[in-house]
Amino acid sequence: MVFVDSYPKTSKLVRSEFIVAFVALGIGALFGVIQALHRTGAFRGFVSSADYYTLLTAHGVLLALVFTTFFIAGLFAWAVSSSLERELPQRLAWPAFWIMLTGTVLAAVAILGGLFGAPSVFGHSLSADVLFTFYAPMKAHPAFYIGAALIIVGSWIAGAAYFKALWEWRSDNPDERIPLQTFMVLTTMLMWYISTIGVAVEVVVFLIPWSLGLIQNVDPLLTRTLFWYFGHPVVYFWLMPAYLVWYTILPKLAGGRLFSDPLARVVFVAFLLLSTPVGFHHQYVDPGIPEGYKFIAMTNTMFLLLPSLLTAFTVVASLEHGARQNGGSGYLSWLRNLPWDEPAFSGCALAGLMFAAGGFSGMINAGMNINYLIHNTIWVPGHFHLTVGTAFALTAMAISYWLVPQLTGKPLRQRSLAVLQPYVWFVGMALMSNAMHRAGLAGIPRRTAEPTYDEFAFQGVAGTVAEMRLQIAIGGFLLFVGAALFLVVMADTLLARRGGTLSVNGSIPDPLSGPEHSPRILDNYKLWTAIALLLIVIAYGPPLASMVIDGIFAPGSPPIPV
Amino acid sequence: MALNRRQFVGAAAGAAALGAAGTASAQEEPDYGGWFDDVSNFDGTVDKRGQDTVEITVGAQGNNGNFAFGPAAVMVNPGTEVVWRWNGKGGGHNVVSDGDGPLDSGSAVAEAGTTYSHTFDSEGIYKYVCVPHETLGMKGAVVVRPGGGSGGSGGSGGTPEGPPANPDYGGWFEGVSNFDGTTVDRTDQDTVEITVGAQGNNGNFAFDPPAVRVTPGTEVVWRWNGKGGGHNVVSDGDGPLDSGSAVAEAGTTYSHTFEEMGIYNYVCVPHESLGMKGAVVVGGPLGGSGGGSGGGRGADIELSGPQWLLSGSVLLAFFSPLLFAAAMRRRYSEQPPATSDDLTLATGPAPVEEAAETEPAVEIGHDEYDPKGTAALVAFYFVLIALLWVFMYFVEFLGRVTVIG
Amino acid sequence: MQVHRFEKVWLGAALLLIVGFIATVAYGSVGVGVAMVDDSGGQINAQAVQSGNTGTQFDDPGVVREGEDHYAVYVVARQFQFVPGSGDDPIRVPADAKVTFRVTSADVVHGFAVVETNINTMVIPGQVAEVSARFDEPGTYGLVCHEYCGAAHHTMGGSVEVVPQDEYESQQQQSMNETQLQSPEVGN
Repeated sequence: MVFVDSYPKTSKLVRSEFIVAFVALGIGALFGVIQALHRTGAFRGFVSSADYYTLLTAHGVLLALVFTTFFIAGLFAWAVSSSLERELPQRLAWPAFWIMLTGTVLAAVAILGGLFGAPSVFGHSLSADVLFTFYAPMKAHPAFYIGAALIIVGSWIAGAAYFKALWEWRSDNPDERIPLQTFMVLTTMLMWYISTIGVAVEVVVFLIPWSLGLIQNVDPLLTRTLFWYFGHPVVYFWLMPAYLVWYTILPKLAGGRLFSDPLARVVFVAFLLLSTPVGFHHQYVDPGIPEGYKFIAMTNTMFLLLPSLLTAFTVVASLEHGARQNGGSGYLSWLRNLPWDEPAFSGCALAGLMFAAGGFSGMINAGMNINYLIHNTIWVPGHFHLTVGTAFALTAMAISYWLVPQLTGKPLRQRSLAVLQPYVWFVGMALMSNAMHRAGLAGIPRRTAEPTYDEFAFQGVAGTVAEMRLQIAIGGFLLFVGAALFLVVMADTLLARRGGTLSVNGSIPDPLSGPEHSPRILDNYKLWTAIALLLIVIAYGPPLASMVIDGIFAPGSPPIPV
Repeated sequence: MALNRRQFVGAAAGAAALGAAGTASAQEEPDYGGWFDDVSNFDGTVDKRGQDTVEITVGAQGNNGNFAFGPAAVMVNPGTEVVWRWNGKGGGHNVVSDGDGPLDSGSAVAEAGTTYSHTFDSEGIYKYVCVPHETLGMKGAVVVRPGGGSGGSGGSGGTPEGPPANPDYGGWFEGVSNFDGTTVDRTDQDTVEITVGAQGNNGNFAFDPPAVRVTPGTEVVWRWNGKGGGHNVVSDGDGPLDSGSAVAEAGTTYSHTFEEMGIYNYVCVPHESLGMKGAVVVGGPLGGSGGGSGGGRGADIELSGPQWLLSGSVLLAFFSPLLFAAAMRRRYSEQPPATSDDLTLATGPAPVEEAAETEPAVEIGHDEYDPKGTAALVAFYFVLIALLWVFMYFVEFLGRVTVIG
Repeated sequence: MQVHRFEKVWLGAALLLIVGFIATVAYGSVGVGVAMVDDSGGQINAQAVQSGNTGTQFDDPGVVREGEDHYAVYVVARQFQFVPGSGDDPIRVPADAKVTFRVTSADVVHGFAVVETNINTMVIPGQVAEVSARFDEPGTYGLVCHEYCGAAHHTMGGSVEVVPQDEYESQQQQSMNETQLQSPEVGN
């Protein structure tokens, strides 16, 4: 039975979440290509360099916050519902959707107001050119902060729906192991609850009252630290859903079975423990933070490589299993027996390959002192366009080719475009990202409309600056084409008529080594949450204490609108 | 050129106001040559002639924050003392002449109540900026003219002939980086100065302003600023200008008085290939406020085309699902109704079934499977990142000037 | 728990990689002496920096000789320039001497990076970033604000001129004489 017929209510919810995510993806991708052309100097006619930052803010918020959160909410709703074999509690899930949507509209209006002359609304000029990180004392319109807070609160309520579904399931199945997909969802949500506390405190306690004029000053270092308390776990909030897809769906698409359920659980528990006490690695070159805390954050960060390295093995071994079941042989020639013409498979596999490259640049980012080499250069966007921009985004797009037919009862349309799309994205990202990394080594900064200066010129380290610019412009354009192809396929599919035989099969085979081989303690959420909190107290307690001991608003800065 | 929402809004407002307020001051409105294009708070020149002291606020609202001089442009009589007064908003500001000029309040200060003053004795247009916020549009101008009230500058008789408002230089300025298409209007001045060695053309290889319009009889003085090596001023082809061989020393001057109307192109011979070229336009439209600024506004609206494109694209993205739905409806309404439609009406949603599960060619269990291909791939990855790490750390990172404390 | 023997080997290799990374960074800190920006610069009132009455060298930023072989450079980052550093006011320091940059912000968060060196720090209002380095090669280095700081962020750059030590000292002497000769021009 197709998912849409088994769980029609949850299907409708997932479809709604996906549609919001796809609209955000389309607008974000449009702004992305404008920026790629502007900053490389290929074409600067769309916006002025001052308005570039409005688009940059919108690009970051729409893609890294709206697209991700809505897509993940939909994916998780599907995963919990299908693995627990029940409808999701609608009374929690729908309010969560509407709250998140309200937050999205508020934030989007606040940002895009900057393109229309920043009119005064409720006594504050309607603009939010503060970028995705909204570092105080740059001030946005209060609606921006309120919108961001609502998106977070909505995601909390969505998480409550998953937990409620688990408790309902548990009362029916008192002795069973939690199904793997639900286990992954709930572990991710626990990590999300713990980590979003940081940004919630930053926004609700400090930035909203400050932007409304209720408090005069905030401490820029403290608010930054609270942001990064959340800012690194959020990347695992993007990555863990991609891992869910790679572990539980991708092996089946390759014609095989998951190699090891127990290791998958170990990996997710490791993320729960280590994702949060690492945020200082985004602040390695911040003044005001002693080196010792930075070193602790680094060791935690480096150990966070372990679950990803284990994932690389387990996922590739599961793919190899599929290839060998379908006649593959040899050390590497089995790669030919994988379904490279199946867009759901090829998208996920190419996303995983790019993630391996992004993993390396992440290792450099994580190294405490080598961070000087690349901090805030365009190397960093080069890195995260491989991770969130490909490992997550391309996986999300690819798995939509598999999920959307099951959520709608409509066969995938425009299949030839869908087959092409992951390769377009891959080539575009390969061009853009390699050039961004090399440009970063040459010292070219990120987040700038025109990376040229009156006082000096950059020298390329490997290749020339002009060649890097060209690759970034062409790559950015191809990525836009890739996003457009995806949206055409999705729009055509969503608007097609229901009925007939779908292109996909939703059943998921059992793992080669099942949950019966894993220790029960892995499912003990209380224990893991307690250890996670303890690690956070060790990593964050002393530095936060030293920042607030001189007064939570000091050293203070008044708001500076941008 | 990048366009700017302020230009756009300003252009729209300006176009609307053109008929009403614009005509009243058209006679006296000086041509700033695009100086105020990106200055949001510029709303015409405020006539303060007849006052001994004129005050300008530094840190007035405008240009996306407190980054404006208020008013941006004032007209005063010769001998007037102009006082700039800081209101303490928008961070540190200063008042510095554009190019060579008399104004320099020193480095930027923020404190409210700070003042800086200058008394303007000779006629002319004095442009100035706040250096930290120049790119945001924090620019101003003081126009020093005699008279007051409705008297005007006396030039309204006009020059009958001469090059048109937008002279055709015939490609002369191709490759000249500091020429932005504007011919700076310095008509009605006895002496006009051009900087030799100004910034542009990838170094100090420019004349500033590159193109200037003067009234016949004006003495044009080229002044060397000492930057960019040795320069000279020589007419292109047969022409009156020849300052001799190139010299580098700051303070060097060369002058020529232009009597005949026409366009005089000239170069710096050593740096001609870099784009160090200029032109003096003698005679032509007076003031140019009507034609010139009208043309400027037209160009602004033209420039805003891409902005419409952007807004349109965003709207299109928002409404694309609806458009698509409409297209699909049409597509299906053109098709003859299939039998399943009747079925839908009778029994509810059309039946859907999944694709058949593909069975593997062989079943391989956990114990009979060694992922040796995976082992090979991860071993390769291990070696690759270990080598890259060593290269990045010991060559790229430790090979640079590094932080030692 | 079933764990394939290849997986056990990979687990070991992964741990080796992680420990190797941490060891390399620790070697860089202890063996080579690469120091991190930390809290050594202390705190400062950003609004006082803006109005120039901190009572510190930041009220008159520039290069100060702190010892025989040690120079301190006080830099104020503000929207959208480094003082000194931007435009016609490059930071001039001698080669082969210890140079300590103390950088703070008068308004929003900025960045301070000397291009193609490892001098790279955030500039946060209320905090003083302190980094020391020794330039071996005379020459002009680019200076970049690498954190978005407002609508004209992309114009915020500058340069650091590293001059040979003897040349530096003679120029210092000369400019000091000039300063004494000039009568102060009062603009305010």
